[in-house]
Amino acid sequence: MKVAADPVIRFDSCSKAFSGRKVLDAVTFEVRRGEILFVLGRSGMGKSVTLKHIIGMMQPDSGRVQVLGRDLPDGLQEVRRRCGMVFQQPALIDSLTVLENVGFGLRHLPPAEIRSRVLEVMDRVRLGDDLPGILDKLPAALSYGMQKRVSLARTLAPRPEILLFDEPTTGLDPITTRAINRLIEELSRSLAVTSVVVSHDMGCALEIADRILVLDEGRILALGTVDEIRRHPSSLIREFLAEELSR
Amino acid sequence: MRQALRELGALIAFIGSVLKSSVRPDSIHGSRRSLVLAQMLDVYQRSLVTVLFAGFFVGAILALQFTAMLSVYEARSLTGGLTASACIREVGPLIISFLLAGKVGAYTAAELGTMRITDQIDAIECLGTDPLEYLVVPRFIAIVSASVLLLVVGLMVALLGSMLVASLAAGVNPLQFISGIPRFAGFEVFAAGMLKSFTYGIIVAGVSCHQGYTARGGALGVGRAVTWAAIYTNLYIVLANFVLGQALDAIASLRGGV
Repeated sequence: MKVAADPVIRFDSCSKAFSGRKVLDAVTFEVRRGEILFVLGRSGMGKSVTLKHIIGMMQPDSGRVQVLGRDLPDGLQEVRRRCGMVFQQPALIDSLTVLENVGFGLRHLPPAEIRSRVLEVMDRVRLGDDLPGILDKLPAALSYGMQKRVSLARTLAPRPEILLFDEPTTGLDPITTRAINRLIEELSRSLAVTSVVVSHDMGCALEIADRILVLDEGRILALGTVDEIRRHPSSLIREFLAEELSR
Repeated sequence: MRQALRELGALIAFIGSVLKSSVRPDSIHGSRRSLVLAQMLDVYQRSLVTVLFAGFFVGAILALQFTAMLSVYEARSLTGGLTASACIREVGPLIISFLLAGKVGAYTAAELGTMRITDQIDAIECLGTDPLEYLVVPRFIAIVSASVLLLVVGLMVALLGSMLVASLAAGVNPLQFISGIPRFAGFEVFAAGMLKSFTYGIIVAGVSCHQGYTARGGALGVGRAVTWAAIYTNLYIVLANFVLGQALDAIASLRGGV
């Protein structure tokens, strides 16, 4: 595990409420350059909302979010250029082919360069063997697992410095889940990007995270390395760990 | 009532954003024109046959009604003029907009709604593209332009249908039919029809895009978006028809016209 010191994401006392219910309550934390941070917690405890604040799809009611040294939402365009988000669903554009989907964030480049970048990232997400036949297919013609990989390729194509994953293995079988988790770790390490992964999967977090953040009722219940989280006295974390052991 | 007013306010703000976005320089790497053309082609393909079919029979029905009434006064020669005036000013724009709302508006609301609930719109935004410019502006322009152009096509077919029926069923001479048209359907009537079609086009495009773009809550939310798109479109078109009708009549009476 190699964690550099400078923070690339900074939440400073951020609060967010929906219909009077606080989903984030004065949350403060930092994500350091190059690390894999897992955000865990029960459903509806503000995990996805946290991600959406990082990519500027939501703004806090109070507090400050800083990404890559830029305050949001002021530096939003630059932040979006340098960040990539993988959604819970593949979120591929139905009417575009795989090539057009993966090259969507590269449309400012010449077509030949788009194609070569697409081929490069398709190879990275282990879809190289399916090339070039898969490129002209529409997303509906692919399996769900393949759609997830194409979605990951689309996010990687613009070469982001920060990768955000919103429950990337939801709806996948255990084998594909393990493959995707391995891919997340491998990509994060080999491309030296910072990754924030929202997940329910404690097992995966223990395996590949540098640090784990546990949210509960909009507040930070725990933030620490894998070993620190294993030793944490909170009953919720013990429950998560016990659930993982019972698998 | 409060809900309907809130919805109207949100719709006006949405159409404002779309118009603002459509006059801004192309920020989607020169692809706006091709996106608009693709959408226009799609809209025409989707609605042309229905417009031709409906136009022909609407014209035929109007001709039957008018010839039946005009026969009483031995004035069947006026059938062409009255049919053209009714088609251009009232029936044509209404029928075209209702057809567009049913065929294209519902499709657009469902398509954008599905894209919203499956995170496709959020993904487009995260990839640095304005989804309003990429998805909504091309559909909006395509529907509005289709509303006007399909009116012209529909009117020609409607006049053809009414001329055929008037000739075959009531013995109106086709030349007499055509020569009567300018008397009742001059430039002002044509301009009024175009203005109405343009306005209804904005309503169909605005409501369907707005309902789809703001859909929430899974398949149920998409279903709700399509239903409300149909309800609000019809409601706003009927209201707009009344307001425009009154306004145009007032202008015509001020100018001493028909």
